[in-house]
Amino acid sequence: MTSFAALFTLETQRLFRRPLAWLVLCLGSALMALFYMMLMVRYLDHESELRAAGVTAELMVRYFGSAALIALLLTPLITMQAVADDKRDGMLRFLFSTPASSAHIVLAKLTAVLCLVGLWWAIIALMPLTLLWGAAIDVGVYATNLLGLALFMLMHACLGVMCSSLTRQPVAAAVLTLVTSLSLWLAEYAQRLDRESNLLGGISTLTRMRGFALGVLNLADIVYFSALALCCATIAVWAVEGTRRYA
Amino acid sequence: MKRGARFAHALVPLLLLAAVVVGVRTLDRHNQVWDVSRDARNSLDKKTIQVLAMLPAPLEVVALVPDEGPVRTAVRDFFARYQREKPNLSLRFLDPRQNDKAPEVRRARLGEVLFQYGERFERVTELNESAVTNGMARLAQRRTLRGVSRQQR
Repeated sequence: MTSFAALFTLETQRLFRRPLAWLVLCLGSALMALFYMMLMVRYLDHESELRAAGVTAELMVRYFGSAALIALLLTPLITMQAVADDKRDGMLRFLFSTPASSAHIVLAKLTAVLCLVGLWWAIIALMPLTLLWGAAIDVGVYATNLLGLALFMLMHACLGVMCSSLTRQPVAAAVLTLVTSLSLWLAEYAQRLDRESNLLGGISTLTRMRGFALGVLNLADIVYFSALALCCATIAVWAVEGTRRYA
Repeated sequence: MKRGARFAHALVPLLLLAAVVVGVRTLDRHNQVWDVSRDARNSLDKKTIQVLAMLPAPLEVVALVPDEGPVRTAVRDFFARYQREKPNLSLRFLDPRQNDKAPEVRRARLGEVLFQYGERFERVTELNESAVTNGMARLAQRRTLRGVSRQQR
């Protein structure tokens, strides 16, 4: 546990000292603020038509939908250096010489990434609360959207760290993460070509997010994101252990 | 020995992914759902649940809508609430303009929803809970009336 705490402190300091992390955080928050403003202007311009659907559906749910897409596109930039950079510059070999296990090394890196992602999630979560001044938003739907986004970001952070552990090149890790996450997102569209099968719809993150957007908690959706996150984290540990044993 | 250990090591992620897919697919069939929205607007009315209970056999819903993603997603989301209450309710899409010789096209038009319950059919022209529930209730009543008339004979 002590080795994990020391590694976690080291990784968090390294991550937050990188300009890229701050750049992604600023860019992500600025993009979300821009989306929020555009949705607000759209609602105010077409209020008579959109009032029936309500602020919750027309503004908040759309806002969280775009937040998921932005998270999908920007998370690879946060995670790409996690393990791949250490593999390339020999830092991982140095870490292998310490008493820390492969699981501790990966978990420390993952927790550091999750600190940054969590900060971004909190900024995204605060923006729709400004609606409370002027409109009665559905707090239940807000809570499920927040939970959905948290699980979505957790899963993509784990996926990014996993891809980073599979290669020595950070750019290759980012591309691999992006391709995998976009494939999972777009699997729902692929399912439309084969309507008899619902396997592709079942693995699509877009399909799994729909319940959270509506204010419905599906046990299967929660387990889907949690299990994939756990699976990706385990594969990352497996890859680092493989490097320790065979590289 | 080293090659065997490497092979076993390589199998781990494949087995993990397979376990996740099988586990989630199994859970999909035995899912638990909680509607936490205001006024539980994603849940069905008590009367609708009573009507669904009157239809124990498989019910097929054929939505005659254009082959457009957003329209079909909206219809799928609408009937997802019914499928949670009645797992043997199946939903099928049909574009009457592309399949003008399909038997369903003779019973309903573009934009309508057709229910098939055994040999009984019912057509609904609007997609809202009261219209759909009334359509299902008519199906259930027809069956009951038929059963009563058989008993009287």
